Amino acid sequence: MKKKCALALILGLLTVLTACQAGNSTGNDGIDVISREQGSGTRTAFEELLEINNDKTQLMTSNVGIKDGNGLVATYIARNNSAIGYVSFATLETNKASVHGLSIDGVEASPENVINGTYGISRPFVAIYQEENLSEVDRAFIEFLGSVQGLSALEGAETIVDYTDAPQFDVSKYENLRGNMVLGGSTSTERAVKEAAGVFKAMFPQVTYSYSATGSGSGIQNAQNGTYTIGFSSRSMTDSELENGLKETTICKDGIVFIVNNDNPIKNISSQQIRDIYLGVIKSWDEL
Amino acid sequence: MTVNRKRVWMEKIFHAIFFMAASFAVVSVGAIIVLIFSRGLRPFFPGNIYGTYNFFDFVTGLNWRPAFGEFGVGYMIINSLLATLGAILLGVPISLLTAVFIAEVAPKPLAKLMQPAIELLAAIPSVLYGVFGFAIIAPAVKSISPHPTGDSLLAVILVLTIMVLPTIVSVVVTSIRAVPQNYKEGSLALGASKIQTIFKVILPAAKSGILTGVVLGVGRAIGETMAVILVAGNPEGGIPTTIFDRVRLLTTNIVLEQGYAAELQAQMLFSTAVVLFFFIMIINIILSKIQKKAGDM
Repeated sequence: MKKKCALALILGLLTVLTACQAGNSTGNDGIDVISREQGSGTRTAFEELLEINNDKTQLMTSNVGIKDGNGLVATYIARNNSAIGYVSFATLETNKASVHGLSIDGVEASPENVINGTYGISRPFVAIYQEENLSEVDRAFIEFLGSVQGLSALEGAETIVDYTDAPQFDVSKYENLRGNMVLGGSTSTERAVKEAAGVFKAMFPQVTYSYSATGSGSGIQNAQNGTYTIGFSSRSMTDSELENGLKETTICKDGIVFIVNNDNPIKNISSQQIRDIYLGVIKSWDEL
Repeated sequence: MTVNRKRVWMEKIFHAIFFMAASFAVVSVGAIIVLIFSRGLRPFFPGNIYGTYNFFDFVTGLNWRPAFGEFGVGYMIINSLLATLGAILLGVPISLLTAVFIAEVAPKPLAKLMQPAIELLAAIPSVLYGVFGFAIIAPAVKSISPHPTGDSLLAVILVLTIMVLPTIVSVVVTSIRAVPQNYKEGSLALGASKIQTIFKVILPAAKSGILTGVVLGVGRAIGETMAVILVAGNPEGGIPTTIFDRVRLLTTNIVLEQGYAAELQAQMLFSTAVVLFFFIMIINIILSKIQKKAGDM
């Protein structure tokens, strides 16, 4: 009995001590920095464009919470008003009720600003495949994605499309198209690809498809080993990935927007401040 | 004569069926071990196609940055051990007291109600604990945390404690009930109160059962993945200085990266699995040594 009381007392003391010792940190005004997992295309684009993790002098702070998926970042920030993270435009649209995007250096994060070049944080959505793995359905789908109808379906999912030289899709070329497409990859491209696939399926009712949002890195991997007939990524492939015989086609562009909880009054931030937050230089909200 | 031969033949067939069923289990375990060790140990020997990595750097490294070729699981080992230790420190006393309550102190109808409730807790899938942790435990930790987040070592410990509770409780209840009645009767007859009897006679007599429960609990805690991945935070480096810091465990590391890891990184994930295996073996050996000592009572 005495031993157990002593144990409980020690435990209680330990907890109290550790809790108190942490009193010299930034408190609840601290910034909760959220990032994506290593294989994420969104993260790769973010790191490239903001020059973080490029070499050992600009390392992202290790006190970052890692969430694997655009949706997870958004739902986490929706429940945590001291958090900041980055997602694709489409994810922001879906979660508008609980989070809002920050404008950078006064430029709002919108498709128009990506097109006119004032908002620089954007990246391509690419479709990746091995030529020999494609069936007729897959080829038709890739052609569809490059056509006017496909691009307008993608645009409906908040992406940025380029209509120049886009041909009209000729439905009669593929009569009685049937088959299954196993698609998958980036969580950023999920909504756009599903919208386009939905329109495609409406044209060819005997076509079925599935999309597994496992991340850009896994999309590229699985396109290579044949698990997905077409993989999707929110970053272009690296040279070593291209050497493996994979083909990539850019289907549209998308922007990355930094989001905070709707209770957070901040609406604009400078790009230097974003870098400092992710490098761990700025640690609390009142330093902004 | 014919009847006899048929019977012999049937016996042989059934022996073969039983043997095949049993070897299925042995072969599976063997296959898992061979696969993990062969892929996991390859990066540490020269001649690996994706390059060699220093084993010492691997187990003591405090940062996991595949982009820079840095694969350190040292911090994950420490995090896993801390989380398991915390879960055991918190879970074992609570489980013991719960088991004593169910087996000795509670009135029969209440005990009849509590036992299935605890067993139900054991049947809940891990990922539901994770969702519970994400929805309730993390915000609760956030309100007392000096950091602006609920993802922390404390949240992981709390989730793991709830998970090991039913495991330990059911084993301890069984072993308390197995203590011979005359120990209890003798103690009470000598004038000890019920509480004194429980703590000084019954629990020490049930020691080996309690230790078995603890071993099972530790095994569950150190290998738990889905329940903790949502509340751990999973940073890419760093040892927690307080219980409110984020942690990445050996198990969550494998799950997070497995989907897209290629070449050396994929092999490194198997190496993480080797380290995990190794620690489970060590913990089990230590605990079985303690069990032997205790069993010699």
